[in-house]
Amino acid sequence: MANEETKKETGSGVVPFLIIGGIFLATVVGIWWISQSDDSSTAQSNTANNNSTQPKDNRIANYNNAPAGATPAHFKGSATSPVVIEEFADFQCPTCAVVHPKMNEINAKYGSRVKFIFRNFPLTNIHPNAYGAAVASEAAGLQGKFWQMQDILFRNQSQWSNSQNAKQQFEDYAQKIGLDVERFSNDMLAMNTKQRVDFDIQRARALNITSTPTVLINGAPVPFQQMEVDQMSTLIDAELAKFDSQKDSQTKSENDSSEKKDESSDEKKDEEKSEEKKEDEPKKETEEK
Amino acid sequence: MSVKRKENKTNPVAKYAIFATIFSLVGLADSAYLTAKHFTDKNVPCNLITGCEQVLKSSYAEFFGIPTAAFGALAYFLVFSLAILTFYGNTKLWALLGGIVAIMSVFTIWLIYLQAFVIGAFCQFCLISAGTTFSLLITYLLSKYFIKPTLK
Repeated sequence: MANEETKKETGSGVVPFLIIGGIFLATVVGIWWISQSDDSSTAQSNTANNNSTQPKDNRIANYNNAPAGATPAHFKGSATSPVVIEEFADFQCPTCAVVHPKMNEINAKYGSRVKFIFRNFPLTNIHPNAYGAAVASEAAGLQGKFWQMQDILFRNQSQWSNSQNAKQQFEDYAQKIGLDVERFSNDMLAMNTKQRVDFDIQRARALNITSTPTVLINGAPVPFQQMEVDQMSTLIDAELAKFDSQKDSQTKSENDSSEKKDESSDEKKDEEKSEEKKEDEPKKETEEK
Repeated sequence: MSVKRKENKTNPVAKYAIFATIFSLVGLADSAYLTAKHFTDKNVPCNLITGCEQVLKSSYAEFFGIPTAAFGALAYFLVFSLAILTFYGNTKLWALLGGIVAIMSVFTIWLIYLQAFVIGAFCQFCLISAGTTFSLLITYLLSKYFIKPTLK
């Protein structure tokens, strides 16, 4: 018996360690492989989009037919710009807070050349304070300080995200950004602020948006990996260029009738473009309604 | 093969060790995946269905700069090693396995508590890990219950 046992121990002595070593190797290789494949998929999607500088086909199919969301929408830049950037975000979503300064940079960079719309899309089933935060932003909007509230909410996300009494914090922020706090807290309970959030949610759902942040550039979703200032810039530039070329071809045909009326500067073109858009926009919105 | 058969006769824990091996492998794969994700996905979009990003990005995602998932991977690897060694006859190690699994279970309960009441979001991969830990615990307890007399 004793002999047998020692035999067993020596006989099987190497095998378990081989198995353990094998599994250890497999684990290390697995971790390495996952991190590699993640990097390469990011790179792939980047190159894929670089190749197609006209992301026409990426456009969400029912972009123009979906419910309009809260109207008028909160936007920065030019109301009439041909390039519409629409962000759906959740104030409690950590990644939205990370993307927030990038969107600010984009806005600073493009200014009135684009129209930047912010839409509330609180993921209420995973973020208990997100809906309240969205309503807070709308309540601030009633006093003309939507963007200040949007900013302070993202910047201080960690403070209120897990709070049991987030409303108190929202009121503190309201005071900080100079709102009439009493009116603000009343507005937070009002139907119209909630309704605006609900309209935005409705639009997000109709567009089949399931995650935040989702950024649409003229209806085409920006892949998450490309939510960097330079990569979004490339996409925006492409859209701007598209409208410039359309404009060019239009002016060409106009030139056929009225010869060489147009040697004007780019600025002038932009103005014309935005005026054209001005007429289009309200029509669209009424259609959407 | 013949060696194995003989061992199974003299090693009453062997079949429990096999279960422990399987559960710990699942746990190891899960926590290794989470560890890899922790290092690669700096930011994950928030999704309607999963709350992972929040759990993985919460202040509890790391302890002393080491991802929580890596602790899990290490623990599962230890359990796996002990289970294999137990299977091959080192039955004394089974008790050590039990001790580690007990510690893991306590840690797991605490992590579930954090997800439910502090972070307010669940992470499906973390719940898989919780499942494997509890399976390991049950396996160990069953072995204690059923083969205590024969071990002594």
